[in-house]
Amino acid sequence: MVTALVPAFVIVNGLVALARSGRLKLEHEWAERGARDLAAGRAGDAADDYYAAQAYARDRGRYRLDLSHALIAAGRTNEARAELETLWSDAPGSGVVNLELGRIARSEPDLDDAARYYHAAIDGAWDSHPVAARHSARLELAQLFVERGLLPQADAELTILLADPPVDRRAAALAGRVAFSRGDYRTAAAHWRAAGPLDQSVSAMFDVATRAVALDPDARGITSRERVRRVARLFSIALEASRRCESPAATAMRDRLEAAAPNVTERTLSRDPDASDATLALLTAATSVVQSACPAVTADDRAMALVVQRPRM
Amino acid sequence: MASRRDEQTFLLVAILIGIYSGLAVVTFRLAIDWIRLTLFGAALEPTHGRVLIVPAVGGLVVATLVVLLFPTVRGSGVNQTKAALYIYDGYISMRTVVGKFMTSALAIGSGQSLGPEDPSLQVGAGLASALGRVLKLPREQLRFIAPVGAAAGLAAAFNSPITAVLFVIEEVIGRWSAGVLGAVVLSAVASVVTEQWFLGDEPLFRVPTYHLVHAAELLAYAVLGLIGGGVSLVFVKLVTHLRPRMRALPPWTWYIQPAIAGLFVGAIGLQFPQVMGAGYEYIDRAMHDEYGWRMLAELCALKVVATTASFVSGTPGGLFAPTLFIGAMLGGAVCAIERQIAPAITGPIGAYALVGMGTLFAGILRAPITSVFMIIEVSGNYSIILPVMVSNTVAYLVSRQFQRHALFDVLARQDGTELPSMEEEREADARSVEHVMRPAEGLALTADEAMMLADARAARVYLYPDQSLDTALRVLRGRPLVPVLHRADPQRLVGVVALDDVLGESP
Repeated sequence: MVTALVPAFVIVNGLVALARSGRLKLEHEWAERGARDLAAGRAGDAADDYYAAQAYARDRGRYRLDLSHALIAAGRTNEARAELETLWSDAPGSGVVNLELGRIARSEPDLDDAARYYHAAIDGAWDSHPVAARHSARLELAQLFVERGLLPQADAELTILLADPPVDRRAAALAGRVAFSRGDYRTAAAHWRAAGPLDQSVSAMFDVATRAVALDPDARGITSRERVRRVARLFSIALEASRRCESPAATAMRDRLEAAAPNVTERTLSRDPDASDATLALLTAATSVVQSACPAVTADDRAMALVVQRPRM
Repeated sequence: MASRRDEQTFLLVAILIGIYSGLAVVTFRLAIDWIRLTLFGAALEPTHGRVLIVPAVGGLVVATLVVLLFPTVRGSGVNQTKAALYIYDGYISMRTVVGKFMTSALAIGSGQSLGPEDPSLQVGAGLASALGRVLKLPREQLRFIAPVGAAAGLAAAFNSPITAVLFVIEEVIGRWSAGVLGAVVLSAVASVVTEQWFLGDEPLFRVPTYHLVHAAELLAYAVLGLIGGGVSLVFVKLVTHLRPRMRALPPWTWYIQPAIAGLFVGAIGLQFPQVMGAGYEYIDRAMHDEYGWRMLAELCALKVVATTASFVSGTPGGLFAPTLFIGAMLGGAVCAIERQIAPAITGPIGAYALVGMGTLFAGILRAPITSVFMIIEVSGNYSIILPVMVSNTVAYLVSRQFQRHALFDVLARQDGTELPSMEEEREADARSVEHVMRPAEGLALTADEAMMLADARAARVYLYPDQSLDTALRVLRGRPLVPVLHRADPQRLVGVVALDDVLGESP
């Protein structure tokens, strides 16, 4: 009986080898078909192909990541999440798995999971181009923070991203948006300048930010004469905006501005140090009234609004 | 077991049985796979023509083989193994082994809604029996060799030695004898090692990570147990009601019953190919949240119907895999519904599917201990034990409340075989000496009886109240009256017992 084990093992081994080579062939065929379908945008078919490849694979986890990508592309996020969680349980330090889980979690209201996965992806292991992959994951996380209005967190990630040259244009553009949202138009303009060519919407914001920097009477390092000049310029922009607006509230405000106009010249403002602050307070109220009735039209209007409505110390 | 040397030889034979069973199960799995690929092609969802025709034609071939060549291979194989142990002194013919292998592989490979585990169990038992005969083992060892092989076959099929050992002990042998337990464990381990040597150690399912989200979630698992118990009842009632009626039909219909069942399963498979065959890949997909609750509920219901059709038609094949399939789909459906009602306290669907498998195992096969350990072994996750215990217990109690006898016991009686019911034996009221003795208080003895009692005490022959009636019978041999003493105070008489008292208790 013991001796008979030898031929029995040989026979079974032969049968297993035969079956395995057949399954390997099928596995590769389905996996290749899956890659083709995914590349052609047929994500649903690709997912089915990868399911088949997985069924024939000896290591059933082998195509799970490809399958997850196909499922995400097909919008079947529940299935993708489950596949990725299985991969995660095998390799919790995998960068790519954590990144995909983070991408899925970002659609959920609770941000903690997404942030946790993204940080794990940033600190995780990557098979190829780890530096670029981690950089890209951090940028996605920063974008997520910006989308959710978590500017300090976004700023922290962007500061790391922009610490080393060469400057990442996407990170610089995003950092510009964060600085702009914070009211730091000088920094925003600097980031956008570093980002190079910008898309249309950001380009318009850049223009407004540049003008806001030029109009800012509270900018550090400017002379009192320059401050007065900027206050006077802001006043004339506000007056022009009120003249273009026909609503009763705006008309009343225009009358107030026109009445104040003789006293808002560079000379009069220079004589009375408190006059500039009083003028800025009037402009804040005027902008609020006018822009609630007639939205800002010109870049100067928007820049003026940003400057006068910013909280002042 | 005879001598120590015999016991050691038996353990070595058990290892040999495990290796041969492992090899047989590997070949069995390859055969099922090869038949499926040949008949259905490589796509996971084959063409409609094949889905409809293959199970019917396969059923016809299987039926012809069963009726003409292998009449003993009908059914799952669990009762046949028990019969070998309790009736046939461990004898299972090689013809049954070959027949079970061929017909089950063809039936499962051609899409009948049955599983490979129970046939593997019987193939293992049959190989063990043949090996025992070749080695000319003594009668008592030969009797126990079938369950040893059964454990090996089941362990290799499930890739889970603990589950196999517990199932065989809990449902086939029914007692924890050290000699048999050692052999069962060794054979199970040897078969799993052999199986993994060839097929790798990939588990049956990839189980997602699990943790209990909230203590209140246990209520949801109790609900799963309740529903699972109900579904188990429906399945068991369907099978036990329809099976004798199908058998009572004229013998010529036995040729076409599996074909009709195959056609029926194929018709379901046109829309739901998941119900065909063992369906492990679809259990895996259900665990990974691929299906919505409606689909899961439909698959659960259709699998119940399809498996009933396949099984009652007399097609050889097992109930383990369909039971797990039904449970996984049910668990998934309960989770998906609960997720809509109370998302904050609902765990992953994979956990519910996993618990659902154990629940149906407890409800249908009525092996409560095995059902708990099976889930832990399959998942490799101890933290799932609380939900499993809650759900399985509820399902088991529901099933027992409304179905007096366990499925395998009913099937055995339908086949005209009175096999011992392990469940009934477990629950039998263990009568002891204290139930039959005459208490010392108010005891009035005749002079003869007082003399007999004094003799017994002088000869240091006595009983304790908690000792079994079996022990009492042996002590009472040749001594008509024996004192019953207090264990903490041997001088204190708590009663007396006579042979007639014990015999009066006998059923």
